[in-house]
Amino acid sequence: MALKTAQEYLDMIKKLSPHVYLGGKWVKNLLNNKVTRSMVMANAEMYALAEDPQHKEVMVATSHLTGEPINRNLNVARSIHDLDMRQEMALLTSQTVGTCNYRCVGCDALNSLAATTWEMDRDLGTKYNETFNKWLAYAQANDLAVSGAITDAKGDRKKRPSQQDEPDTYIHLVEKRTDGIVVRGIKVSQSGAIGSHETLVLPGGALREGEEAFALAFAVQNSAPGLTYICQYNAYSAEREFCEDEVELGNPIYGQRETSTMVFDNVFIPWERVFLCGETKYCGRLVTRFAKAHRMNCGGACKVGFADLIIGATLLAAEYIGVDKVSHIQEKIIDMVRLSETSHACAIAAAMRGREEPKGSGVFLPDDLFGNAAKLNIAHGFWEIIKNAGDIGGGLVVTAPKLKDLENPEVGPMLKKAFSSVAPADKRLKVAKFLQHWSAGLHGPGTWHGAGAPQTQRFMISVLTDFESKKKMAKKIMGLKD
Amino acid sequence: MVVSEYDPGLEIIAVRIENEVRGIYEGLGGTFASFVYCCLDKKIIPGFHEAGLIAKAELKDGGLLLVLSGKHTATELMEVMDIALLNIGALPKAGGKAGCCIEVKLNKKEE
Repeated sequence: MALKTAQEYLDMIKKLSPHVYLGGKWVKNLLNNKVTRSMVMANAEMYALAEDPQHKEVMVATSHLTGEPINRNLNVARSIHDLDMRQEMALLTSQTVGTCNYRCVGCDALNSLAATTWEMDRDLGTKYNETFNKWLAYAQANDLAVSGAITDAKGDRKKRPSQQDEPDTYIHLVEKRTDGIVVRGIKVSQSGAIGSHETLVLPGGALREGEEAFALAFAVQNSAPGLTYICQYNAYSAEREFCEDEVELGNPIYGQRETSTMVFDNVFIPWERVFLCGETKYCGRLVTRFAKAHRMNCGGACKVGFADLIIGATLLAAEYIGVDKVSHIQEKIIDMVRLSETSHACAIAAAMRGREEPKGSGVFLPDDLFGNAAKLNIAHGFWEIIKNAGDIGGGLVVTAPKLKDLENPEVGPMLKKAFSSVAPADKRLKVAKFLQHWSAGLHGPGTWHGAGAPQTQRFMISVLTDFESKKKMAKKIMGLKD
Repeated sequence: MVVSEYDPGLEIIAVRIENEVRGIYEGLGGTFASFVYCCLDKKIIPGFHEAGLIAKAELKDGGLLLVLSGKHTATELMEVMDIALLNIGALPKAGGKAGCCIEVKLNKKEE
């Protein structure tokens, strides 16, 4: 057993053939397509970071199953320190690739599964935890990249899963066999399954009695026949797909965040990979525990890493035109730092106030209130941060010409004259493209919806906050009688 | 809890071509069942997605008998199987006693 290198991961990916469509075309080799390659390269960087002795404390953990070193993305948190390193990993990976690390959902899903399967075995006498641990030990031993799929297509939101005209809008059971189950349905907005080895699939929300067919949690090999990925396609996809040279792009190697719609057309899942099948009562807990972990990491650390990059580039943009010492520019930069660090502080607090859940399971989950506060704060704060980046970066962020035009003998000299300032034109345009990647890219709505739209955090905060005690405290000081 | 204290739940799959074991693979329990489902029910070899590669697939003596269409050498068949098993989550292993076997045969009709 050993941690895999980035090169070993890439060598394996070359042999994997998930059924991937992008822009209407079947992508037979993920590394030969510029768009899918950006996702694979970001995933490879997760292996490279774990190889780097400088990042060992953050990126490498010790398996509680085998005692061997493992990539922290496959670790079940067993202590406050684990939770703290988990959120630091989300921060570091975002700072390193400037896009999704593509392992985050899988990591938080496996932590939720570790807690909830343990609870089911205790309450129901099932063997799900044992099954899950065997799968996890296998994933750890082979240092697999594991992604996660949570959000169902959902169809008509007024209707329950079983009431939908199109049952495939939710992942559901088709057949229960002696050797496994057959599932079908659609998961959407899934990050990075195409370049992973396996994906953990969880229910998208709480379920009721009578909805047993939709109560499923399992791991699926990403090339499993019957599973098709239809990748997102937008202006950034087209720009990357048809560009002459990726150096023109804001994030040349790792790109924008790449997601896909995952279509399960009667996919067989052996029992050895099934971690919940029909137990509706535990679906809500499974999803809530996932969200608890994910809001700390996605909201309070991942997006903070993005903010660090945006702040850095915004400072460069200001320096390159000689406005970095202007007071209102400095004030806006400070506001950007305040917004991002407030979320990071919430993530650290969520880790520090984490606790074992359920008691006796050995699994540690972050504090729910601080995690939700981290996510809600950054959901709003991120728009402010990219607004300030666009403000300080100037109109050039969206009006910059092609970088290669600077080398064009006809227009190059004119462009250099137009855009040279304190810094040469090429540096200014490069920074403008990078800020465009953020302020006019996909990350605004991505940050808003990732780990659940803000309304879900508001709901959780309303449930988790003891409003009565706050009223009582105020009354006491005021001397106000009941 | 340490996994080595109990059955880690792995299974070893042998690939036999022309009566010779040419490869041994290890995957999580259920990997062979997944492979069999793909070949029998979906008529697809993992990693290839296109129908038509399988001329015949059937369970025989507890293993899977697979006849592939087209003209292939034993080496080419092994390359196909290597990709197929990797795509279903089984990795090459130096040795070990196989609990399941996939027997791959050339399609005589097309020879």
